Amino acid sequence: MRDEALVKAILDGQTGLFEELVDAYKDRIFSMACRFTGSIHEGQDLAQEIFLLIYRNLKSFKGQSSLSTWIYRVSLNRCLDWQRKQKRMKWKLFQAIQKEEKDIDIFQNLASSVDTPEEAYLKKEEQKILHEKIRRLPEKYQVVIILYHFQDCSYQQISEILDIPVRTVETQLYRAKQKLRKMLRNQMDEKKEVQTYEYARS
Amino acid sequence: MNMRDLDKLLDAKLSLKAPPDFTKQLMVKIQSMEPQPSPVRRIYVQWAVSCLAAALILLLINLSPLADLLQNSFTRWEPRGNGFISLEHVPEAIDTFTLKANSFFMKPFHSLANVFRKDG
Repeated sequence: MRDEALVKAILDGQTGLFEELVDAYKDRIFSMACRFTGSIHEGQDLAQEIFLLIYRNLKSFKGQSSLSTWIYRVSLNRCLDWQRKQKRMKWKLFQAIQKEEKDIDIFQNLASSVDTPEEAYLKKEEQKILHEKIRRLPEKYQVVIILYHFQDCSYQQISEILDIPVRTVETQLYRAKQKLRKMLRNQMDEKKEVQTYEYARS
Repeated sequence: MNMRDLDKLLDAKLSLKAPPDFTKQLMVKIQSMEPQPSPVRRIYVQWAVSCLAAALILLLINLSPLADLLQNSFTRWEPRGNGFISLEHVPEAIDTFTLKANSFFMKPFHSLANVFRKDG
């Protein structure tokens, strides 16, 4: 079914089709929400909110872009709103406690069966630092990294979602990675040494 | 850390899949959602409320002819012998009301006309 026809059918009351739409996109949107929140629980709440928002705003889909691009755009904007709200939160201590809980969540399935416990532990730590740094990147860099590396979107798709030229996407991704590399370079090495030492001791 | 290491790090896949009951939970929320009036409908409602308020104000302003009408009508609508209220005076009462309402609404125009008459 074509995008416009699908949306029209949902608006006409065929909620079963919306269920199919949710099933098709839920993993990608859930994953995006988790990357932004750093928590499975919060990611789930945010993803649900996003789908409710999509359902309420289906009328505004005019078919100027593909439905998937529109869904990504709505999701991304909601995730960025969520993040801005979090940054405005004044209870730093409360946030810090939350973060501790979050970190356990999102990376729990990271270790593969072939990793030794030490490797798995280091991998987890690396990912924690990586995500922490990504969250500290300026929004425009953060978004391209998440869409390209974690959502497997192509340059073309990203350019449509963000409504910027493909060339700009490439440049922003390059700059984002340069910045991220710089941020990670020092801390990662230091932390790795400390973790290895701590793990060896325990 | 070089670019290749970073790419490797970025490409490490986290298995982030939505919980199995995700869709079910969402559909329950959607079904329990109350239909919200569209912005256009909201504007109509606002207009209707404004019109009602305006009508009420006009009614209050015109209360004196209305009171007269009611008074006139009720004093005339006395139960007759069989206990039924006679409606023979209703047309007359309506005429009185129309006249009074008409004079009330036309009063400003008459005043304006008088101003011009005096000037003339």
